[in-house]
Amino acid sequence: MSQGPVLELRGINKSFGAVQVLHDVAFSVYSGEVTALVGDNGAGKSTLVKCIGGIHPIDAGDYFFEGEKVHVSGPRDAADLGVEIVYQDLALCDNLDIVQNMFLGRERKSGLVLDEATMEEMAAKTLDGLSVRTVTSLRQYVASLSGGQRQTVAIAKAVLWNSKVVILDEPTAALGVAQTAQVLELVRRLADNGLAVVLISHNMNDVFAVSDRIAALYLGRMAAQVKTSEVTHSQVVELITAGRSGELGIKNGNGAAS
Amino acid sequence: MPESVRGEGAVKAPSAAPPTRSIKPASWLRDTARRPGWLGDLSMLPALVVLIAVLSVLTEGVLTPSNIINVCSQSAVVAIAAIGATFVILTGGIDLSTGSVIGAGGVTAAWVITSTGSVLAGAAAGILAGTAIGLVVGTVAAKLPVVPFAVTLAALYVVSGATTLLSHGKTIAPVPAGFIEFSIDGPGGVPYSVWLAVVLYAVAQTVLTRTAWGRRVLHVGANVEVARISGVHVARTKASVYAVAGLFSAIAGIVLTSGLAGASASMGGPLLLNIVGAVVLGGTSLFGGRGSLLRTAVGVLFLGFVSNGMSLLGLASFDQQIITGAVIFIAASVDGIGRWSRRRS
Repeated sequence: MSQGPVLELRGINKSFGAVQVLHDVAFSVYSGEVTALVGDNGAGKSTLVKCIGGIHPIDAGDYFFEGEKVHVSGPRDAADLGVEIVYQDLALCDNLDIVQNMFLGRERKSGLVLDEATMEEMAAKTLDGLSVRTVTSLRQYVASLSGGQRQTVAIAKAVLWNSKVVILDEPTAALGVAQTAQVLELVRRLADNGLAVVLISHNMNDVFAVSDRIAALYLGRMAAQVKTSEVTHSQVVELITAGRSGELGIKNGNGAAS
Repeated sequence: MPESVRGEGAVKAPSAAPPTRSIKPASWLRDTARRPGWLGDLSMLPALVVLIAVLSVLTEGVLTPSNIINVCSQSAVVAIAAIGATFVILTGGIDLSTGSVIGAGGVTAAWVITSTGSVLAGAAAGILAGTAIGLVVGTVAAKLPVVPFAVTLAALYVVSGATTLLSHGKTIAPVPAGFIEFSIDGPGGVPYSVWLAVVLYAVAQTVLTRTAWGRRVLHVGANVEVARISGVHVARTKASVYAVAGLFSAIAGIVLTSGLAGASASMGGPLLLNIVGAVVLGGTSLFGGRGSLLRTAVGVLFLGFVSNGMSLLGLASFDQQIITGAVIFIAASVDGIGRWSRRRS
């Protein structure tokens, strides 16, 4: 891509007590692209995402957004930048309806009271914009939705705010075949609409089906960030399991990425 | 090599957007089954109607205007305190200090009234004291890793003891006749205390359903983790509901002081279970996230009519307690079974 990354992390370190989870991690995300973030369990994917989202403060390192250095110290800071995260457990409240969930924590008000009409309209427009046809009523409780529908609502919640970066944590992990295809299609459409999308996944088929770039974490280090078209399944699997694959990956365990 | 792995899933092709059936904002009329609103809020209403019908058959004078006013005025104190309790329970918390704060608010108000002669100043002082206690209790409950049950239980004893100490264990009286009148008479023969409760319910229900703060309360109760990562100030919201509970407990204490023509530290204690009972019986979930003031209003009236009916039937107080327990159990079971069968269908 000709332009620089919309979101860029350099030298990120993060420890929980004595355990260092992230070592000098560099990570770049580009508009209009799906960047797959892969890695074994415990490699630090979720921690990295939570650092990006402001849930965990970073110990050291730089956070650049649209080329400018920023300081993110909470979920609101990230949201203000236009960074939205769709968590694995979806972060939806079962006993609230779709509109209430989409505006959770950021309700529209007219004067002192909530502006339900505007919120409903914005929610409808966003779902329409994503070509979502599976949801019939915006006042349905989230508890009554299928797994794929929930994922859709969670994604719609993330793009409602003209966000620039959307991070999806294992969006297809709990879905059946048809729903997985639907969600992947939606993921691709987000990127085609110009958003920068980060897809965390364990499923190589999903990764190769929709991503433009692959970033592989290995034991808290960024093993490699490569274009999807330039690597094979087996190379990515090697990066995930061994941290290196031929010329790619970590050399001599010093954390330098090729 | 790249081609072999690329484009495996057909999802890559940016499909031209198919004609979409646009999602229309739902009108609640078309969507009553799913619409969370006052229909679900009135799930205990049938039980209340049945109760009143049964009482009407068994005894006379249940549905006379004077008896209805009587039930309402007897329920006013519990009703007002139950507003605050509803907000607390909606966040998934519990406030056991309600009864003590009723005493503290009432004693403070009575003390200022007897020493200055101004009911207004007394009411303001009582409300201030109750809200301040609630704020402290709420801040502790929200910030420290101690469950609200323990924090508010401790507050129950501390507040009750402190109030007894400061009032030397005496009833603070006399209060002006006009202040006592507040619980006896009012426009249309309905006591001011009842009108006050009605207005407070309308305001509280509006705040719950139509303001961002009300929505936060539901969010925190529905799923605290989701609320946190969505940027809701969880601790602040939790602390605020206890402050609100303190506010309404103090108002209830002042109304009770008017009804008893004086205030003592221990006067609110026995009301605690009625208050929490009315909230839960009305259908507000103890787990948080689900409920409303409308439900609590129905719960308060239900308990009010149960005790009124027992008195009309001329039952001794021990019999009353047994039957009250049985009726509460039956009502709660009917409601629970109804919900269960709706979920199955």
